[in-house]
Amino acid sequence: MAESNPVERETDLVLVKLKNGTEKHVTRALADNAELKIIKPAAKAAASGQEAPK
Amino acid sequence: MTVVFPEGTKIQGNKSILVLQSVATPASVDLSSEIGDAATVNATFYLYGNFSPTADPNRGEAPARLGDKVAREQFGRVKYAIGDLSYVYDPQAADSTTENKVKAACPEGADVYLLERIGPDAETDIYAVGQRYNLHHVLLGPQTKVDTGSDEFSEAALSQPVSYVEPPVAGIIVA
Repeated sequence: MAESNPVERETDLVLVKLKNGTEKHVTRALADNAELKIIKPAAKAAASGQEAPK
Repeated sequence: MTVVFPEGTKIQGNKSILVLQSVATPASVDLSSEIGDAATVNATFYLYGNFSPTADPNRGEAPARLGDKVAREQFGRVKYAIGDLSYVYDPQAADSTTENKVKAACPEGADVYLLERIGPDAETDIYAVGQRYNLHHVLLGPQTKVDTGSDEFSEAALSQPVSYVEPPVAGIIVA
């Protein structure tokens, strides 16, 4: 049987403000790691086939 | 004419890649606010294999003229590409762990900036003003769980296709 390669889809995105002033959706894990202030919590995407917000 | 023998730059251990979430002006990356952003991840020791972007210009021939004796080759559109990224992750750990930093920084559908530095030691030389970088603004595809190989030394990896959002910018001197 062919080996399966499950695809990892990140679904939990949060809106943060980066140091250069840009606002961007990043994963919650990255925001937590970098201790970024979350402007808008959890935007679920990708799981339903919907494109992740930019 | 003087004969010179220019010194080559060793690549092994001297190439590093940062994942930046945002760059305001691709032609001038800011050291403190962009490279130094808390969300920036140094992916150098996560990535397997090499990082080799390519530029493949389409080649064609101009329509032959009545008196032509030779074909006149021309360049057409250029296709910029980078091979799939393949990097370390921990299948059993949360995305917020050190092992999964690149996984967390590179979700499917996001666009990120890959900042490539060639020359200074990847492990010991810090990023500094005056160094030259190449910037690759790419869109990220899905992360697929793969193995680095099938032998006893293989590791669990994530493979991720990338495509250029805009042509790469080379030789940026960081301010």
